[in-house]
Amino acid sequence: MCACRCGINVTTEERDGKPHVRFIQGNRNHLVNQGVLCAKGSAGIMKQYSKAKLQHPMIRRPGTERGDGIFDPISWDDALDVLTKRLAHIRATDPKKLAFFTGRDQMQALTGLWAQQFGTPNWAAHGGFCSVNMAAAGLYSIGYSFWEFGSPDWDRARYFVLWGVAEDHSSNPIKIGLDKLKSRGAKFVSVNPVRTGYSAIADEWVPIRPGTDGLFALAIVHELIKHDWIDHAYLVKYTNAPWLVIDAPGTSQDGLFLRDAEGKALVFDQTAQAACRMEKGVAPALQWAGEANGKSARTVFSLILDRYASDEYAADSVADRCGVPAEQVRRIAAEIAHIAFKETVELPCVWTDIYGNVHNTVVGRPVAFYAMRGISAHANGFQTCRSLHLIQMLIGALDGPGNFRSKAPFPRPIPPAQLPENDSSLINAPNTALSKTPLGFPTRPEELALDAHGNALRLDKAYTWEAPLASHGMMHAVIKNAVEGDPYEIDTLILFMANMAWNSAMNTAETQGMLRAKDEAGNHKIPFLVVADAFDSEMVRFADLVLPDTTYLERYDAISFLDRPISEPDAAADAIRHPILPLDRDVRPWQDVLVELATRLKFPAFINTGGGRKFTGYTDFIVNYERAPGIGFLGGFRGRDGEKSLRGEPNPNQWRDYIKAESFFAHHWPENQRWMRGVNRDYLQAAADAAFIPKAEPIIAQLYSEPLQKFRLAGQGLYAGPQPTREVDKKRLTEYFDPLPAWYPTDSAGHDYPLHAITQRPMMMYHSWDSQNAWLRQIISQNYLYVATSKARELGLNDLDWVWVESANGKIRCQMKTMDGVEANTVWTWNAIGKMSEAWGLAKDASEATVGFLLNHLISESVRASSGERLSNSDPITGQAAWYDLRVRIRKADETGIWPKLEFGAKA
Amino acid sequence: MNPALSVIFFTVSSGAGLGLLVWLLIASLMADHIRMDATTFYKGAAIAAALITAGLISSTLHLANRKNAIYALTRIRTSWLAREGLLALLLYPLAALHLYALQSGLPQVTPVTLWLLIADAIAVLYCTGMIYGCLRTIPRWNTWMTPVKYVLFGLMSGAVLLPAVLSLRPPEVGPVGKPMVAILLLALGLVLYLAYLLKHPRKQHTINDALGFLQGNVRLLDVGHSHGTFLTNEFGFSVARVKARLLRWIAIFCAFILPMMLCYFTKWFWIASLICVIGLLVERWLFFAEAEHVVRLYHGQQRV
Amino acid sequence: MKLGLAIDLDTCVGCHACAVACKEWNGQSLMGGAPDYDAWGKAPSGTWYNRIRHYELEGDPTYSPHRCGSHADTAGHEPLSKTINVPMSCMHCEEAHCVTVCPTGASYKRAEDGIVLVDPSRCMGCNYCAWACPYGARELDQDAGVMKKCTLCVDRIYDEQLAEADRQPACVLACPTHARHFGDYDDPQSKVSLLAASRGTQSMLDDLGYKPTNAYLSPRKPVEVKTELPLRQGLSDKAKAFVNRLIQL
Ligand SMILES: Nc1nc2c(c(=O)[nH]1)N[C@H]1C(S)=C(S)[C@@H](COP(=O)(O)OP(=O)(O)OC[C@H]3O[C@@H](n4cnc5c(=O)[nH]c(N)nc54)[C@H](O)[C@@H]3O)O[C@H]1N2
Ligand SMILES: Nc1nc2c(c(=O)[nH]1)N[C@H]1C(S)=C(S)[C@@H](COP(=O)(O)OP(=O)(O)OC[C@H]3O[C@@H](n4cnc5c(=O)[nH]c(N)nc54)[C@H](O)[C@@H]3O)O[C@H]1N2
Ligand code: SF4
Ligand code: SF4
Ligand code: SF4
Ligand code: SF4
Ligand code: SF4
Ligand SMILES: [Mo]
Repeated sequence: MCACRCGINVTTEERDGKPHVRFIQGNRNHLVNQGVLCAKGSAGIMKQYSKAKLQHPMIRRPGTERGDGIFDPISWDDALDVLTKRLAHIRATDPKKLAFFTGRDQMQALTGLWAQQFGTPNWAAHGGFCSVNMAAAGLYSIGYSFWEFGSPDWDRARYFVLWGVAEDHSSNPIKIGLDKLKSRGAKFVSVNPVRTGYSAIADEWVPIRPGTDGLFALAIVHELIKHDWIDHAYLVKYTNAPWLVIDAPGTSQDGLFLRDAEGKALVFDQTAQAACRMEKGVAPALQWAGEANGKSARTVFSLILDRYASDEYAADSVADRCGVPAEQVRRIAAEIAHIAFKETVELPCVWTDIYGNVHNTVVGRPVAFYAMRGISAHANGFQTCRSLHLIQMLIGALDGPGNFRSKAPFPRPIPPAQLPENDSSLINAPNTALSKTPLGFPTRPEELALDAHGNALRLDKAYTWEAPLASHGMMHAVIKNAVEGDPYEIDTLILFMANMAWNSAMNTAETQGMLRAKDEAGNHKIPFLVVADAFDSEMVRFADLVLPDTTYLERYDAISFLDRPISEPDAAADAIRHPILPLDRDVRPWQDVLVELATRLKFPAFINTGGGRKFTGYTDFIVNYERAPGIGFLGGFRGRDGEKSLRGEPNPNQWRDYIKAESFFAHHWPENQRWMRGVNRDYLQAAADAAFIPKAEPIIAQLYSEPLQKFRLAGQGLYAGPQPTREVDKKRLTEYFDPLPAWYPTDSAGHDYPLHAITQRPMMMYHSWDSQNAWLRQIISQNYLYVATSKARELGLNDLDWVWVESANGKIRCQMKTMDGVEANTVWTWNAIGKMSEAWGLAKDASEATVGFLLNHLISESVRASSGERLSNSDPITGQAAWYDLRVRIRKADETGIWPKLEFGAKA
Repeated sequence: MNPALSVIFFTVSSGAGLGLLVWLLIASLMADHIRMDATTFYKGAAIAAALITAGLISSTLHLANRKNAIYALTRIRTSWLAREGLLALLLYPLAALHLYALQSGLPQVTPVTLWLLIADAIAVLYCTGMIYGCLRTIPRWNTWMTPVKYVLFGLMSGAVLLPAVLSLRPPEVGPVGKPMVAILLLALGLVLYLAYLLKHPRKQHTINDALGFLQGNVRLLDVGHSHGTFLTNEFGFSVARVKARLLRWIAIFCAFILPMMLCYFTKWFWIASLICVIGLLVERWLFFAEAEHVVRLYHGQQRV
Repeated sequence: MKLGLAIDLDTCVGCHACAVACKEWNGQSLMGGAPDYDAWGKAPSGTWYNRIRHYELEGDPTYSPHRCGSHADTAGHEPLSKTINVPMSCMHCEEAHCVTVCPTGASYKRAEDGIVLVDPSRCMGCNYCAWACPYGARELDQDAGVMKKCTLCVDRIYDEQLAEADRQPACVLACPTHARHFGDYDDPQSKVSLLAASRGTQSMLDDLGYKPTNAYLSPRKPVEVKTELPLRQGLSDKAKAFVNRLIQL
């Protein structure tokens, strides 16, 4: 398997007596890429020949500074001893003083388990700054989500809207899919301020103004509702549209669902003319308001009608702010409805719904959406994403033929039944594991990770009033919080596969300063910094201890059902990597290091009852670790002889069996379990059997989110439970925790900074770490700031001019180009092309360091509330980093060359 | 086009040598005032041979893989470059034969070898011209004027060299008169060059033709590489307009007008030759530097 | 046979996967490499047989039926524009002038399948063929001093040791949008012939007379949805007049 998830066949040949990679080809049988391969995949060979590969463990030379990048080699034994001693001390005194954060790895099940066993809540992966808005909005609304947990039905969709996607994690599947769509004559609409890549081949390009998609989506909702272009049956049967919401303003019950004694939500049955459970035989009213069970209540759908039928959401009202003409809004809404209701597909398929009704066909309203960071990287991304799901729910276009479909282990209960650890006695207990992994999905204020005084239990302040639904943690807040000792100081920070000193940082230069920062006594504010990386990244140069990892062609990996497996809608699937090349240097797979450390530190899950070593290493761990009986990291080839799937005893030859099966396992869902899975009885049973979900219970899509309302009540001072004390939190909760999808503007920069500034991923570069690739950097080793031709004319700017780009947070100098295909008030550049001089094995004067630039210098990881508090620059609901809310102004520079130019060894 | 100095030198030097050869041979047949003695003839021949040979050697300098140059003569059926190479090399045995015939006093052979040599030299000039003239990819070159220019400029520079060579002859043979051939050819050359500059018959290709989108404006958004490639190095060269204009005047004056005046008013034939050659070098540099290859359309140029 | 590629400008997203796959296959193949220069230095460069360029097309009504966006000109009209990604490698021209000009015979066009190749053991690196190529398909290998170009993966497509499905050019196998097709244009029933006929192709410098074999499939006209749903009554009435349907669970 390639670096992210595509299946590859690697051919090696002997050269000078050593195996070398000769050719990497996509695996035709693989579910994900079906034989194709992206540029990065083919160039994988040059990553193996990279000059930046780390050679051995290193420790910062005494007397040198962080960021000088001067190291002494150290043996693995010594390195592990140093680390074990330090970690053992932390664990025995105050385990939360270890913070362990990881980048875009695919082993969060292991790293999370490790952190839990260590006893620190301070663990998360990059999701918090990546796309948690997509994940959370989906998981709190429909049970699955954009961002890996679902995929459009490329074979049947007749209308496809792509919202803010340049490349995505499933980049090859999207490309394969777009070809299918276009070959079938389906319409492809791309909503994106920039027209490159996917947008270039769209039938219609909607150059939206950044951050206004929610408004655009809700204007579509307005049209759908206004014309009654909605799927009544779907809403009634499979969503909470008919659920009754208590109408009791000013009380703790306001806006909560009307429930019966057992806590089951109620609907108004038109036949019985009474509030009933949502059960077979009941005929719920979509619109109803009145007294039920002694309370004033109305249906969710009546709230929706009231809200979105209002002129506020009329196309004419939103057109100017979105930069999308009203006519276009109306036409697109009508097209969506037309495809949904006039070009309905019906597949023969016998399936049983949760009410026990047997259907002979499955009906598809063949409109599919997909969305990613263009939506998520804004501080209104969660609500915007919910607005997209709202459209899908209204027209009944979820998990049916032609829709956005779920991928196992999703759908899960809404939200997934997994809570973040918030037991402060456990968190503070020495040498004690946590009761659960640190991350989860709170549903009410009690489930926040706060101590008795309302202080954050986690270093990143995830699950505080500042970001209650921070389901993926907030990695972007870690360094700043640790350095400021807010909420508390830490001892050791371990970073794995994340370039936090460079493009994973908002405000890079300042972040580097924080990594260097010392207290009055001359001790680093982050006392010990461990970096596990495979290459000589910017981050590595700031480490105290560097633990070099192998490359993906040199190690075993499991892409597990417990994590983000490679499933596709029609098959539950997971996969492995196995070493193709022997190691030619003194590096170790990080997973092995983790298992080793866990064993040395005597984590309960890693030692026998006698206190001895339980697993010889990572491969042994993967085979034999069981999270629940029969459930391990890999779902394939279980049982003693590898005869069982999804659940079964450990198979000692599981790795061998996977390798024989081309490194992946796929359970193809039978026809009756392929559609409408949240409400498909047989699927839910199968999913429960595989431990994808706890119980075979219906997953009813949530148009209206009760958890959000609970937090809003807390903000309003009405919640019967914990409440925030800071005004700023109250205000944010009240304003943003709207139980119905809402839109709010994210920029307050106004006239001073009239332009939006965003980035896109180049299709042939993986973030920071592909510039070391001798082939890929030939394609791009310098980036430009792209400015709309009309805007450039207005500002008197020309192609190749050097310009100053200023934000409220700082300024950079870079070179610009003009283009037509960009929204007129937006400027953009390719992400992470700029590099620090000498990083990545490149020459000091490499153009990445002399003319390539990062936009990140202009972004801040924190913002000030008008009341003065420091808040993370994030979505107020999920804590998702708001990379794309950046506002700038530009002017011609007299000087040339990039600025700032950061160099190792120099103080920033 | 990237003006490769080796190629520029080759075409000018060989051109002048071939022209000189032609005129020497004609002179050896001709009337009184360009008559010469054997020593002068051989000196002239040596100069011609040196110019031709230096040019040919120089032309191999730009080969990236000289060891395979030996195959360069194998495709005379289709390749003007092969033809040129072969005919250029043919000069040497022909010349040897001619010399042998002269030495051995074979009057029935010398006229044949002489005319063969003349024909071959002109053919070489023509082939050189056609190497460039046949390229449809470079519209500026792809005209009948290109080979004519090569032939004419070769003969012209040779004609200027001839009186210089003649000036080497001993006084008893007589003084060199006005080199009317040179003056005439310089005038012709000037006319041709001006015609070439002013009214250049060539096709226009646009970026729209290159991509097949015939409506609307097409422009390059990104070329797909951050630094130079073989194509941009070889075909991306551009001269600033001011510089080109300056060089053009230098070419006009040096290659044609000054030599003409020197030949008419003075006897400084060597200086005239030198200036002419410099002028032609400048002209040739411009010939390459200003030639625009259609591949530039794919790199964003609007028209070629 | 007339082997060649059909490249679909309608689906090419400009991802450079084909170019890199090509570099990977040919970089170390028997046909000789595609070297890199200054690979980790200031200005990295190299020899490629396939390159992707990106263009913007403005004002062609065929491709932008809707005036859209916030990008108005002074007259209030938004530009009709489109982005086009164009991968280019050797076209394996029928009238391959690059071959006829080659003095050494190193460049040749195979009679049996029309593939244009360079024999590195004969090439003297004079660049003349590159001058004769309108499409920028030839690049000099500066290490070996010989001309390089797309071989149509002749060392894959006939390799009996490869599985049938793998006997395709590396770029075609890699292309994630399946925008690249390979086949025989002499066979009117081949996929490439059918595609070229049904989709229409771009004429690229056809007046030069090289008769390229590769075809660039023209972008499709944007799909338009003809909506025929009834518009309901006015909005405020509508919200009030919402009628519940009797839908039993
Ligand atoms: N080649 C490559 N592939 C990658 C990666 C990589 O670095 N390189 N990174 C991987 C990772 S970690 C991630 S998170 C994914 C992310 O994959 P994408 O979500 O595709 O990420 P971006 O490149 O940020 O693209 C965001 C798109 O949204 C647009 N956009 C910005 N603001 C707005 C807005 O307000 N509204 C709309 N509608 N659009 C907007 C931008 O123009 C851009 O086209 O990609 C993964 N895949
Ligand atoms: N301006 C702007 N900034 C952004 C974004 C944006 O859109 N715009 N996107 C953000 C997002 S979503 C993300 S995910 C981040 C990602 O940004 P980065 O954190 O820079 O991610 P990568 O470059 O993918 O890799 C991180 C590190 O992993 C290392 N690595 C690669 N392979 C291995 C391996 O096998 N083992 C180990 N141990 N290490 C390895 C690399 O050397 C690198 O140092 O960037 C964020 N930053
Ligand atoms: S998208 Fe590209 S880099 Fe990622 S796994 Fe697939 S082939 Fe590899
Ligand atoms: S594209 Fe160029 S190299 Fe290929 S056959 Fe045609 S002229 Fe020759
Ligand atoms: S570079 Fe090689 S292939 Fe090209 S014309 Fe010269 S000898 Fe022929
Ligand atoms: S056919 Fe082969 S040589 Fe030609 S561009 Fe494709 S991969 Fe490269
Ligand atoms: S791989 Fe396919 S989509 Fe990507 S640039 Fe090449 S032809 Fe276009
Ligand atoms: Mo990400």
